[in-house]
Amino acid sequence: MLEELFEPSSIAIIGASRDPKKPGGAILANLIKEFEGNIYPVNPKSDMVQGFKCYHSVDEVPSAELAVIVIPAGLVPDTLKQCSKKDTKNVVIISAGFKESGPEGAILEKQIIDISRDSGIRILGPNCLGLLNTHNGMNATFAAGSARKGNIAIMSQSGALCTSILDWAASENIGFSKFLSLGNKADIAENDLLDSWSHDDETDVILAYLEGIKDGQQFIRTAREATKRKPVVVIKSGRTSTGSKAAASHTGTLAGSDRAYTSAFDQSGVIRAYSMEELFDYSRAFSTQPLPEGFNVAIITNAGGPGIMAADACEEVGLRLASFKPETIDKLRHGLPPQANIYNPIDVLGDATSQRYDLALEAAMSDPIVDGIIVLVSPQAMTDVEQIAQAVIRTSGNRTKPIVTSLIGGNSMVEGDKILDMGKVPNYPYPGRAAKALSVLAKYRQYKEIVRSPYEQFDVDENGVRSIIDSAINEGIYTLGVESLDILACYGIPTVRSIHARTIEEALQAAEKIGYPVAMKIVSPDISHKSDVGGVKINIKDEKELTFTYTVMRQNIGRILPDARIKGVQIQEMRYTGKEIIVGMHKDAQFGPMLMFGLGGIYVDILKDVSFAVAPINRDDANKMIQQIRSFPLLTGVRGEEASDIDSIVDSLLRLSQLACDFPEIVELDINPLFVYARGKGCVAPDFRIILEERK
Amino acid sequence: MKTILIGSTEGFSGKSAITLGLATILKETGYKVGFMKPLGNKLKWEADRLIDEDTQNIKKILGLSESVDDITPIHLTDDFLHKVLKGEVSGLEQSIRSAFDKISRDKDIVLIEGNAAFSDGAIYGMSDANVAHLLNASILLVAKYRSMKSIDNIITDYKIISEPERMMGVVLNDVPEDELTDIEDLVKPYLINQGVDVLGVIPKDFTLRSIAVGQIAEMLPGEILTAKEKCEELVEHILVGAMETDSALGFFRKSHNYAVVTGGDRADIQLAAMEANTKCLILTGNLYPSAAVLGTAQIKEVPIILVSADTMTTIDHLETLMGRSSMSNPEKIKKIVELLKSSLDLDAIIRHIDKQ
Repeated sequence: MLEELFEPSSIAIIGASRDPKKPGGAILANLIKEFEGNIYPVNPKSDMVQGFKCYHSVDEVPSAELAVIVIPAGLVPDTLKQCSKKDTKNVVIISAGFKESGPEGAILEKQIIDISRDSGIRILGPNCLGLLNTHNGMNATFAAGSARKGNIAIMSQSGALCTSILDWAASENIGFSKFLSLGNKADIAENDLLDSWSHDDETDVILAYLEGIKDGQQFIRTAREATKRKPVVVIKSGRTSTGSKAAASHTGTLAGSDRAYTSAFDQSGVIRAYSMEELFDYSRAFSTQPLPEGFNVAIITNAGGPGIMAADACEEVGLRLASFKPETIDKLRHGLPPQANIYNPIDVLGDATSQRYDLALEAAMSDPIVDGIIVLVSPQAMTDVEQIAQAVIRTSGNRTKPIVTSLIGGNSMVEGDKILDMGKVPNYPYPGRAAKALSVLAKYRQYKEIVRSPYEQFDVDENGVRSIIDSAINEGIYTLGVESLDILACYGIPTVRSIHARTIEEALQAAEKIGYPVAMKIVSPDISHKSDVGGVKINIKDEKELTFTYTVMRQNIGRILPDARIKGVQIQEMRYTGKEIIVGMHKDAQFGPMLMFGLGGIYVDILKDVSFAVAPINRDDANKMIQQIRSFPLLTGVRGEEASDIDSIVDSLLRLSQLACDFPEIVELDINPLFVYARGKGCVAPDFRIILEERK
Repeated sequence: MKTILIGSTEGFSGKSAITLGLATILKETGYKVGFMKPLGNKLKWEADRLIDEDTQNIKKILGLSESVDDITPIHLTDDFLHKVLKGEVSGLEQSIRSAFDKISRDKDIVLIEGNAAFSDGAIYGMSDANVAHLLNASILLVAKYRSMKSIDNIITDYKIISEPERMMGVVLNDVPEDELTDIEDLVKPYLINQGVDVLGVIPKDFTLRSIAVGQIAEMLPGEILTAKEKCEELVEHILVGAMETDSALGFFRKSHNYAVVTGGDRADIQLAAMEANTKCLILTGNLYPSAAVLGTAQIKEVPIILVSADTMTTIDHLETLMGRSSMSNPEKIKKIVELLKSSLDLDAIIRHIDKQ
């Protein structure tokens, strides 16, 4: 269990050094400061280091529940094997020179992964800064500073960022419960820590700086469990094309698309921070304040301008300004001067002292409509900032509703800021940041209340699909189209009647069976946009037209694409087109199947009005995908139009999700268009395209 | 002892592959098989002497003890052709004849690889028909099938030979899958009607056009930075990685058995290609990739080839190599034998041999 990583009774520092400027020396020095367990330095060349007996090899060490390795990379595999013969459960490999350094390092990394798997020893790193547990004084990092005790646990894929965070947190008075640098993530990765920390009593908020995720599907499952217990705030860098190139080069892993991260975080309740500033703004609110019951906010200010800015900010981040109960308005009217604004934002006026803030705070706190409070202070002649800060702390003390503050100013706010900090009330330099932090608390509360509906499993013909896919792969065909519509039919997605014909005779027979008028589509694994090459003809009325169309279609395509493999044509029944929507999926590098939904035609092509979700999805997720697009009202029936059969779209999305999860070899699937009819009349797929990958 | 000359209607029709495959199969069947390519045209310098690449390969694969100079007594160098035009060449028949006597000793069957095209060599009196006459060989004609028009070439070659009884029949090679039905229903009956036996229809197969990773590195030339143990992997297609990160993965996944050519500085493309199972990465402009990417390539066992040429030049070069690379790769040999066993009328061929 990973708990032992943070609470070992003994630690061996392999590669311990006398010189505290070297990593092996710095780690030992950091551990000596506060760690209460046994410390065993190992170095073949020394008998004593930093006042401790030094062992010449791991074999000689009495015990090493945790081993911290700080020796050249080439020596690590053997040392790890020695550890596996001791009582070692976890190893932190600080040493660099593994996968990040090139092919030779990569071979070493493979070796240590194998040793870890065979011996059961868990590995943190390699190429990391180490880890820290403030609650037992274990600072097994080579960072210059240490951390204050607190209730925030943080992991970072960047070691350098770790040292900056430690340094900055010390000056900002932020404390941590656990602190960890992930390094190359050869073994232990974000999912292990999410799971471990979500059960850790000393941790109330989990923060992460990530450049990629090792196992996306597992991440969603683990994060979903973790966020039920405590908030998880993540910065995922490499959001832009330029950023992701930099991340690729730095980590050697493909990060996957940013919208996959957005969907995955959204589906698992992870709060995404887009900057370090947001990461700490949110974590300060989460680590000190209770969650609000809802989105109604009271703003208390001593200046009009900041109040208006805060009101704007609230609306932008999804908060509402509460309409006070009459009793509250009465209290404010009686307690505040007549010029004061007693509606929201409450303006206690520029000459206000802490008494007026006290009164307004009490009124807002006791109003059941108010879910959270934003206190703004601007330094005016009469303003007793420190007293106001004390008043806020007093009100916040009962911890029933969250309070965030913004002391807007410079020198005159320093003391007030300190008081709020000591009193565990988060203070932000600008009202917008205070509003945003409060909104994140409210959104997390809302997420926690959602009871997820279970995943539905439809009765489908999985073997039917398997045999279609198998025979395609055996033939070396990886792109399937209209001739394989049965794949959808096997999973209960309605399709039009469709018959594959290899010759003109077969085409005529097929049309006879289906009944004119029919549509004809070229079948070729090498043509994905059939209509672009004249490979689609609809409304063929009779045999004569069919014969003519067949001949012309084959001839034209043969001329345009002489190398395309042509496997005949598909003859299909003609159906009323309905409203065109698009459903599809593609396999993301890190999260696996990503489902897509949008309205067809210009809505997808020009407006890019589409929504995404990582499969598997449940009915709520499917509904959310449909409602998320901007053009959603068009499906509900506008200007006299009948509402579309949204339930049938939900059904199709759920069945597609099941198909995508059952067949990981499907890397892309598009049903474009899916015709959806009026409510109760269902939907139908006249065509689709699927791309398979080789089985690994 | 029987002799079969394998000729083709045009160059790069798959003659060497079919010769190699047929020789392997006949050897497996129990025949003592000899090989001769009297007129060497795929020449390269090795250990200070000129050698034909096909000759070298087949000698090695069949384990022949005869000297390469007897298997290929004549080298079609520029100098040789100049001499032919100046009338300074004589005794060709005799050198081929005496080399043939040596290589055919103790053999049941000798396969002779003909000229690039059927009538090549006429200027020095050594067209396929001449060689067949000289060595008393039957002729198996290979025709690369592109459309029904390819039949023109077959009919023409049958018409120009003065000893039509030497013609065993044709093998249609590299046939697109969607033409197979037409061939069976229309082309075969037509040819038989014209007196042309169809001894096999070989479907198009990308493995045979492919080129081994190691060979790419050797030919470009380039330096293999990672996963050298994967040099025998075969590449069938070349893709260029110059798109946006998000579209790269989808683009690569649509293809199979490919190599990706991209710049050394495009870590995103390199990783997308590895994720999508590329056979190898060819990084141009001598731009060394990042150490982390090299590490990932090693773990995923994907060879990275670093070349100094720019992307355009590299692709031009690769396109020339594709489909013309040697058959010496064990995977390719396995594939050609497999294909021949399933698409050649081996019984008919053996009957012809026995009849000779």
